Amino acid sequence: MTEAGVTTSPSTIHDPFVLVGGTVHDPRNGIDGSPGDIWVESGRIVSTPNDTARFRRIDTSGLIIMPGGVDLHSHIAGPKVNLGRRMSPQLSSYRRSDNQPSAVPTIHHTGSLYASLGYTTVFDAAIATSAAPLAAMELRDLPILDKGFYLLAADNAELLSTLDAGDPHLIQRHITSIVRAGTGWGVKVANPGGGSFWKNSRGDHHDLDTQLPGRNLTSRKLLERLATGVQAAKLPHPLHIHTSHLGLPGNWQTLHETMKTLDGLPAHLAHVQFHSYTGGNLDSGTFGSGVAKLVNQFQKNNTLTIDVGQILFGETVAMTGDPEAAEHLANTTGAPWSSHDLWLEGGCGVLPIQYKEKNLIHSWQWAIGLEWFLSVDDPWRVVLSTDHPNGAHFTAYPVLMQLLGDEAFRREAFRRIHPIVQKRSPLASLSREYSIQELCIITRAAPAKIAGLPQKGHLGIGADADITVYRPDQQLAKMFALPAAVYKSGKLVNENGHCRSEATGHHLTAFQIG
Amino acid sequence: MRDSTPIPDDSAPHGGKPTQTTCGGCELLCEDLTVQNIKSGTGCTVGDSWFTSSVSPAETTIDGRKASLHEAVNVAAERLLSAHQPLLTGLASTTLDAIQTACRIADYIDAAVDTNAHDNSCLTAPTTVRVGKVSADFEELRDRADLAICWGVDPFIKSTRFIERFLQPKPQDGSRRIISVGITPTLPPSSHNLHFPVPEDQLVSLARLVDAQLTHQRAGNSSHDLHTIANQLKKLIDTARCVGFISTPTAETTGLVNWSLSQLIRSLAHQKPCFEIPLNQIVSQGGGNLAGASAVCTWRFGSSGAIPLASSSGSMFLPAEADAQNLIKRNEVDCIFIVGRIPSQIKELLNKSSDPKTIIHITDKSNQTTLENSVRLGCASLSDSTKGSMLRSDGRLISLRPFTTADAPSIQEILNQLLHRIVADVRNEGST
Repeated sequence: MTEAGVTTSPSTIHDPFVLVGGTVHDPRNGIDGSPGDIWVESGRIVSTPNDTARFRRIDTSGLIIMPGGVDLHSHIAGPKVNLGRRMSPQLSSYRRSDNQPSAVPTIHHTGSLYASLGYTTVFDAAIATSAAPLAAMELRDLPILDKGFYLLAADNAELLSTLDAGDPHLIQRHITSIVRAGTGWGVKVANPGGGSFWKNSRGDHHDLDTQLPGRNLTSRKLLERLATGVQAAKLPHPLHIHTSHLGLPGNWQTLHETMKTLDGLPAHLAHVQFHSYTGGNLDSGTFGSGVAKLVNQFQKNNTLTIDVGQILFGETVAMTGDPEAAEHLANTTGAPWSSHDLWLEGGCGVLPIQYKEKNLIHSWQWAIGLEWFLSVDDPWRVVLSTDHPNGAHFTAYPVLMQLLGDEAFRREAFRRIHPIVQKRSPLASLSREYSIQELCIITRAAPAKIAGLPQKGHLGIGADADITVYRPDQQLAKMFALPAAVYKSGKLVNENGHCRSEATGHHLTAFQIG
Repeated sequence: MRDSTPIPDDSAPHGGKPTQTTCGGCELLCEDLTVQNIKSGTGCTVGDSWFTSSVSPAETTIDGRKASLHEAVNVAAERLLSAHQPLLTGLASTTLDAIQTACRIADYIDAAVDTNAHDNSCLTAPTTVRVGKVSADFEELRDRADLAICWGVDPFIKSTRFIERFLQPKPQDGSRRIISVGITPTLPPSSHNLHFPVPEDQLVSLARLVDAQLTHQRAGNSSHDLHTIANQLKKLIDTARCVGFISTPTAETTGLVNWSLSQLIRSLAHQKPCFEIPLNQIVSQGGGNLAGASAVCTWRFGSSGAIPLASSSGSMFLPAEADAQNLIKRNEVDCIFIVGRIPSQIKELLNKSSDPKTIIHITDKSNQTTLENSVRLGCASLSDSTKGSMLRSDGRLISLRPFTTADAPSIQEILNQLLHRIVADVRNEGST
C-alpha cells in the first residue's frame, strides 16, 4: 500500500488486481479472519485466474479485508435534507477549523465522507413519491457510492384508497407502479396513516387501531396490507417501517404491537431505539427502557429485521417523514421547525437538535440503542445505523463500532451519562463485545442481505468489487475511521483518507429504468 | 422571426388535442396552458412576456462581433478561467439540469454564486434559521384551506394566475373565505371575503398581537384599531379548520415581517393545520426556476446563494454580503457569468456600473447584455424549445413541454461544451 500523501498514479487505481495475504472477513461465505487473496477484474470479484500475471499484486499482509459498507438507513438527499442544510447553515459546510464533519453535508461531501469510512452503498430511507425525481437528480451528484431510496408510498392518497379497499392484487399492482415510476428501491412507511391524522388535526397521536379519518382503514390494517403487498410485488427489500409514536414515552408498546401485527410477514423495523421507551401517557411507568420485552418479541418473529438508530452526543439536525413527531419535538424544545405538507402525500419535519450526555432523556436514548445492539442474539438481523443525521452523523459510526466491540471503552462512556440512567439501565449489566466478524456482519453482510443486494456485502465470486482494507488497531474507532484503502467496483476511491477517484456510482432501482 | 419551427401537430402527445405547454415565466410554472393560449394571450403579463421575449434569436458574439459557437466557447472558457473574482448568476430561467452543469462550472472556476433569492440579500439571517418554515404545496391550499389570508400581498399583482388557480376553486369539502391584510384588497370585499387595511409598517405588530392571543400571552402596546383587527382575525382563525397564509418578502431588508408571520404560523400550526405559501414577488428573476436554482445550490454547496466561493465540500453563506447585487455594487467581481435570462436588477446594476466587467452570457434573448468585453452564447429559445424540468416555488417538479424545435443549440449543450473545455484546461494545468 502507498503511504498517506503519496499520489497514486492513474494506472494503479484500476483492476485487474489481486489483494494478497490479507486477513479476510467475509461472513456471508463463512470466512472469519482467515488469510486469503481477493482477485478483482472488471469491477467484480473473480476466481483465481489462469493468467495471474495480468493482475497487479497488492500486498495486504497484516491488513484486514472486508466488503464495502452498506448503509441501509440514512437521510442524504431530497427536500428534507436541503431544508436541514438551510436551517442549520452552520452545520452544512465542513468545519475546517475543528475538523468536524457537517451534520448535513453537501451531496458531494456526503459521498466522499462515506467512502472515506469504507462505505460503498447507501440508501435514503424517506423520499416522498412526488419528490422522487428531484431526489434522483440530487443523487446523481453523489459521487462514488451506489445509492437508492425507499419511497414513502403509503402517504400517497391513491395508494391509501387502494389499501382501504383491500384487494391484494390491486395493492400489489399499485405498489409496483409507484416504485417503478419513482425509481425507488423499496417502500417505507413512516408513522402508518399518520399523515391522514396530521392533515386533519395537529398533535393527534393515534394508536394502531384508530380508524384513519374518512376511511375504514386502521394503521394496523395498513401495515399488514402494505407488508403483504410489498412481498407480493417482489421488491428486493421488505417493507421498511418507522412505526407510530416515534420518540414518545411509552412507545415500546406500539413497537411491540407492530411486531405482533407483522407476525410471519417479512419487514424491516427502522431506528428501533426511538421506539423503545417506557413511561408517559402510553405506559404507566416512568421513562426508561422497554428493550427487554421488545427483544423477546423480536427474537420470536424471525421474519423481522431491525436497524437501531443509535444516538451519539453532539449537535445534529433531525429530519423525518413523520411530521407529527417533528411537530411534537419542536413544540417541546422550541427549536426552529420546518414542515412541508405535500399535495396528498404526507409531509416532512426538520429541526436542529443537540444530544447532551447529562440530559436524562438523551442518556436513556444512548443506553437504549446500545442495549438493543447487545441484546439481540443474531447479528444477521441487526443493522448498524444512527438514522443519519437524526441520531448522529454517519461519520460517528467508527465510535459506535468501538462502543460495541470494546467493553472497557463503553463502560468509560457509560460513567459519563446521567446518573439515574447509570443506575437503572440494563446496559450496566451487559458485557458482550462484538467481534470484528460481527461488526462486519452488522455493517456489511446483514444490511446487504436485508436490502436485497446479492452482489454486495460479501467477497465471493461474482460480487461487486466493493472492498475495504483496514489496518488492525486495538482502538476500533481509529481502525474503522481510516481505512488503508477503499475500492468501489474495482476502482481505488480512497487511500489513507485521501480521495483517489470520484467515479459516479449506480442508482439502484427495484425495476429497470426506461 | 423565431429561431425555431413549430413541431408538427402529429408530434403532439394527444393527437388532435391542443398542444400543452408550460410557462416558465414566474414561480407558478403554469402547466395548464396550450399553444393556443399563447397566441391569444395567457391572461398574464409575465406569461406573455416569457413566451414573446425570445422572438429575436440571440446571436453568438465576442465583444460585439459575430462568432462561431466553437470560438465563443473557447474565449468564454479562457475568460472565466482567467477571472480573479468570477460570479455565477441568472439561472432562474433555465432547467434543473442546466443549473447543475452551471454549478459544476462554478466549482471549477472558484466562482461566487448567487441566485438572487430574497433571503440572500436579507440583512439578518433567513427566517428559516431562526423560526423554521411551515409550508405546503399550492394544491394543499387549493384543496384543504377553508381560510386563506393574504398577508401584505396581493397575489394578482405579480402572480396573476395564482388566485384563479389556487384560491378561487373551492376546497374539497366546503367553501373558502379569503381575507387580505395589507394595503390592497385581494378580492372585492364581500360578506365572505374581507379586507383589513393595515400599513406595511404595522404588519409586524399585528402578527405579534394575533400570536399573543393564540398562545395566551400578554400582548404589547398597540393601537386600538390594530387590537380590533387582531381580535377579528383570531375569531376567524378559531372557526377555520385549515388556514393558509399567503405571504411575500417585503421591501424592508431586516426580515422582521417574515419573521413575525412565521412565528404566528408556527404557533397556529401546533394547534391546527396551518401553513404559509410564500410567493416571491419582490424581484424579477428572468424566469420561474428560482426554487430550482436554490435547491441545486443548496445540495451542491450547502447554501441557496450568497456564496462567496463555490465549493462542493460546503461553502460559506453570507446573506447581504455575498449576494450578486452587493458583490457587483462593491466591485468585488471582475467577471459575471450569466446563465439564462438576466435578472432585471443585475441588468440595471451593470448598466449603471462605471467599472467595465467581463460578461459571459448564455441567453436566448438578443438585447440582454452590452457588447463590449462580453461573450454572448446564443442558445435555443428557453420559452418554447427547451426540454427539462423546473422546480415550482412550493417544491413541486414541473416538466417543460417544448412545442417548437430549434436550430440553435440548447442552453444545456452550450453549458456542456463550456464545462468540457474548462475541465480540459484545468486538467492540462494540473498536469504541467
